[in-house]
Amino acid sequence: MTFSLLQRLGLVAKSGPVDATAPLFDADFRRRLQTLAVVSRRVASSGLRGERRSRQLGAGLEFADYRDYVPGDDVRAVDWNVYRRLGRLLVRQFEEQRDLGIHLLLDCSASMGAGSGKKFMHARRLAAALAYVGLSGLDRVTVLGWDGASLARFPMVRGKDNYLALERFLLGLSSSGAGHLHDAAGALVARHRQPGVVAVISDLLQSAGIGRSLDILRSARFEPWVLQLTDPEDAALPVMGELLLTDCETGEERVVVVGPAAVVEARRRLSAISEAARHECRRRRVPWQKVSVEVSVEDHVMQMLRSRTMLG
Amino acid sequence: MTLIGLTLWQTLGLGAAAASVLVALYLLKLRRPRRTVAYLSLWVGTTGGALGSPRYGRPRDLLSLLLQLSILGLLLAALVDPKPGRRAEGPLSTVVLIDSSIAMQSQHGDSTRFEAALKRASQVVEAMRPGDRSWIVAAGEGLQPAQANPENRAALLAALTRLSPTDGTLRMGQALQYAADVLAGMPRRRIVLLTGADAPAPEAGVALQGIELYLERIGVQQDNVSVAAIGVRTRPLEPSRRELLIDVSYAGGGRAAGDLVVSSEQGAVFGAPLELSGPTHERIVLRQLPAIGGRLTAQWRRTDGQQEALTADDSITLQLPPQSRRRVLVVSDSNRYLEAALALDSGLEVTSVLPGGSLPSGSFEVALSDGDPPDPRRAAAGS
Repeated sequence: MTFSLLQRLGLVAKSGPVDATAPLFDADFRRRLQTLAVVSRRVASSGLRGERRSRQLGAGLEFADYRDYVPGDDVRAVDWNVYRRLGRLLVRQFEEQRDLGIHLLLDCSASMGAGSGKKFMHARRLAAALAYVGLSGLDRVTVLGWDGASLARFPMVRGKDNYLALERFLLGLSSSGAGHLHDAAGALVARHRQPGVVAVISDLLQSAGIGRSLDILRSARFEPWVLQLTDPEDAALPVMGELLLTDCETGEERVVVVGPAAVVEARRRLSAISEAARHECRRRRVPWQKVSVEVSVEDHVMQMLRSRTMLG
Repeated sequence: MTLIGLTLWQTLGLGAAAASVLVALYLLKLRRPRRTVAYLSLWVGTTGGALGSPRYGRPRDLLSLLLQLSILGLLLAALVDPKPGRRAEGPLSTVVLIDSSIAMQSQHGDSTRFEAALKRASQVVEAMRPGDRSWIVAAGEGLQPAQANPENRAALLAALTRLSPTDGTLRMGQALQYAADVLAGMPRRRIVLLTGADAPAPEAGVALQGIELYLERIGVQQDNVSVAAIGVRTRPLEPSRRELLIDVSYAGGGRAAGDLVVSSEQGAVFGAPLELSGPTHERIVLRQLPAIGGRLTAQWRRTDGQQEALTADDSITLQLPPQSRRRVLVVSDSNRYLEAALALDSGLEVTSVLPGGSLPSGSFEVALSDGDPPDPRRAAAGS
């Protein structure tokens, strides 16, 4: 009875484990995702054609401009109608459509799986949603899961037919260890020379701030996004009193007297971490989105669509 | 070593029980619930307090247990109340001397010193153990033993309520000697003397003979002059000359100036300025007291502007017997030297007759004949 009362007051949290084997999305939601596209301020291309308009002129469907013919131009691009009327050889130019590199940097540290593991499942579903949007738009998508000790990598792929393999990869990931975001960012920059969007999906519960990681990515001409996962369970404990608390990542142990005031303070600190991340992102004009595990991924995707900062 | 409070076995039993409880609580405290959290920094230093890392927590907890056990040990020691260097030889014999002199009527807090002394005496009685014996004596100018069974605590307490202060001064030597006599042959003897802060130290001449003396002074030393005693004395060779003796005590530590005035019902007899440097006890002697009778009062009046702490002891009264002059018959042929010598004695009523002259009427206590012996027939007829 006491426990249920504390739950009602929001001082303790209790939830069941998350089924990690269920499909991340149903087919209906995937159909809705097909209509979306990743918004990028900076189009970086691998050189392959895609469905994304680029500033480069070349082969494409969208007419862009005329220019004078110079020897060596493709004579098929000469506009003969203009030549007949004006007597000038002009070549039609088109916007070249390129693909976009989408890197999903997924935090697989132990803090993501702490408690009931809802946060980690939420992160994988969000990664899957973004991956599906990217694959549907013929963008190149890769997933990197880092846990501090290793960097699990799903190779860069294009096309929706790779989605199931990507989903299996995401479901196979586990949360463990203590990961530092700037290490993962450094590893990503070292492996991928072609810039693109980097969606950082993390709870950002780490001693180092996110600023250094964002600087690493931006200096390599990547366009980072930050999707910060929050779980109220992080600032709640099922019991109160004098507890021996263990940090799930570092293994550090401390004896702490936990009371209602301590819970309130922990919540405040959790909010402060989010606020600090938002501030760091705003300073660098990096899109930041708070992703609560209490809100479904579908709703979050719709929210991102409405904000038009990440999806459009 | 004597255990005044609990016995050794009681102490050990109580200590073992209390220590068991402490150790049990300590062991329970060590079994803290463990919880894994996503980010420890959210909790460390929050309101309610982080108690530190368990690496240092164990020695700290152990130190805490040792501290608690130490406090328990001190509490038990207080309950046991050990007295080093004293063996339990039997019951305690105590004489409680309560100063009932006039100085004890001065104020001490909300009560007088005498009432405070009675309260302290009742505490001594309350602390009696079975077999202990106590005698209560109010000591002032005289001694007033409380009539009660010395082993009956209730009777002693009741007797305390019957004691009252007196107007006299404390005769400490007499009181201590009385107490020593009462305690003669008793085991573990002690005297508890409850007196005022102004009282002098006990005289060294009192033979306490191994009796422990606990002197407890009540109140603080006050700036007070008291006329402690008054008396008249005569000497065998000069029975008609009376000397007046007045004892004056000054309990303060500074200087006191005033007038000492002696007066009778007929008027002032003596008056002189007096300056005292305390603490002191002085005797003023008036060599020739006039031939007066009735009430004689010695009064001290301060003239230095200071306030007397106790005015009740500033005067003292002596009741003199009626003074009668002795009738002396001098039969002399104009021996002026003899007559003048006799006339100097104010206690004599001298009647002179010439040898062979007629005798005056009345009787004479003394007849002096210078030269011719008196006629026995006439002398017999005259006396």
